[in-house]
Amino acid sequence: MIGRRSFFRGVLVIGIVMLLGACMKFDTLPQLEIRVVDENGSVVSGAYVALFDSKIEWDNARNPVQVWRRTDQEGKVFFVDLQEMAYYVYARFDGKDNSFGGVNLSEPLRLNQKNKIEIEIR
Amino acid sequence: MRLISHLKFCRILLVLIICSGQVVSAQDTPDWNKANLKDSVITLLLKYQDLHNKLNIHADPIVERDFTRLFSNPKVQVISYLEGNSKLVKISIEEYIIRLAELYPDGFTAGIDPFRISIDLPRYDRNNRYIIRARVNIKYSGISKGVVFTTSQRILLQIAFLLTNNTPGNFAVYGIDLPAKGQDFMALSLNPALTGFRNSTISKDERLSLRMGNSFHAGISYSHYFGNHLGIGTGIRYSRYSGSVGLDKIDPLGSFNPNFNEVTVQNDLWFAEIPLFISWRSNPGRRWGAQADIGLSGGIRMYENMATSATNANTGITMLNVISDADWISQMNRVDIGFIGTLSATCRINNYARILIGAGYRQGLSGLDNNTRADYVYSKYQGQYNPLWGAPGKTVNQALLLNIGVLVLLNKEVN
Repeated sequence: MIGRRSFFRGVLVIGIVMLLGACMKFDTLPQLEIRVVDENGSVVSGAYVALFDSKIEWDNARNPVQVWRRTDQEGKVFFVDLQEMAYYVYARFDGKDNSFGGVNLSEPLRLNQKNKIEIEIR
Repeated sequence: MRLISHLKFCRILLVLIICSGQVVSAQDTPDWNKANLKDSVITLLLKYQDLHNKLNIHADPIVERDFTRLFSNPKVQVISYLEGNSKLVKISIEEYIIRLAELYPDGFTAGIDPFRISIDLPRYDRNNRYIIRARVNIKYSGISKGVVFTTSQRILLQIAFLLTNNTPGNFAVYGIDLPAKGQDFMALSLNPALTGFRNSTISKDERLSLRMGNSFHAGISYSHYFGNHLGIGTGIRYSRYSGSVGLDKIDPLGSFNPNFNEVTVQNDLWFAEIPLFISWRSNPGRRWGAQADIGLSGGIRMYENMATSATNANTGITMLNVISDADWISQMNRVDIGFIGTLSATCRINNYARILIGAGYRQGLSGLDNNTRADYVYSKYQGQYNPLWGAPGKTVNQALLLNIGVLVLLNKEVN
């Protein structure tokens, strides 16, 4: 009988541990949602967007930190699993890009935050 | 954080292993010398064997009398194998001697295996009399009506003795019976594993490759055996499935080439699983045996992780998190059903504990993902998402397990 009690106690303990494990909160890496608009403020869907970790790479539009993405119907693209840094953003569509203005984020991205920015292309 | 949670889990398993050994309750008084008691029981059983093998139609009445005196009284009931295993009956030892001579005129030999005798601690009966339960392997053989009959059985003997001046004596057989067949076991198992995911579409793709990964499973289970061989069981298991998808290089998106080669998308899924299985066991030797479990296992995904990496074609640097896929978790089912089977050798440590060493296999049957990406064919090489959860067809998990564990008998009755 002692054995049976141990068994059921063991099952209970393991169940609780698993439940606690499932409830554990882990840090989420920074996320960045970019909305691309044109000079009229209209959303641009299908624009190509990439992130770079330096101005030199941005200038050459090569060696992005992640694969290139395209904006959806709402002109948005969503990057996840980023680092806590101020990335350089490049967006391009139909001969227009954002090279005329601010290209890097004003401040580094933060953990557990979904950061949102708007990029204008001309 | 995850490492800490694994360590906690291992620590609890260790505590359970230690606690599970406490199935034998202590006897307070008297302070028995179990080795001496066992010697006395063996001596009695060897006398039983010797005299039993002299019984036949021509046996000297003195032999019959001495044999009867090994029992508490002539009316002691014993299980009789004289008419074969299918006609097991309990008869008095008096009648047993008569039936033996009738059915086996040349004798019916009993061979006791002295190495497979186990005894419990005595329990008080009455008037300074104590009873010990002993389990013995006996092989009976003889020729009845021209037919050879042989059987090997594990039997349960009740042996009575008197305690006089704190000295056990006058040992006599008080009954011979069949031990209880039903047994309950608890198993604690740790399973280093080779795990992975399978998808028929990806398997056929020349540029994508599925790779297995090292992982770890652990569990606690309960089995009830109805007889010597068959039983059923259930339990709870902690299972991690690790596997990756490889891609030779990321294709350009439009005219934009990210220059990523040797892409790896690593997937780790943690499950709590409840297996329901049929158990089979065999214990041909004194120490070694075999056990197999086969059944179904339902799992609930508790946690998941995806990590990507690639080599930059220009710089040669390995880069992490190169693919953004915010939707991959929503593509998946929370519940998973699979087949599970293990085959293990068992090594007896004592009457209550055995070590398990073997191998196992788990194959997912239900799909882990519930959606197919509509643009899979067009974008599968462009790194827009985790291809494992976007490919058409079922993606299932699988694991090759090394089974290491401890099996603990929960019953007081050992057979």
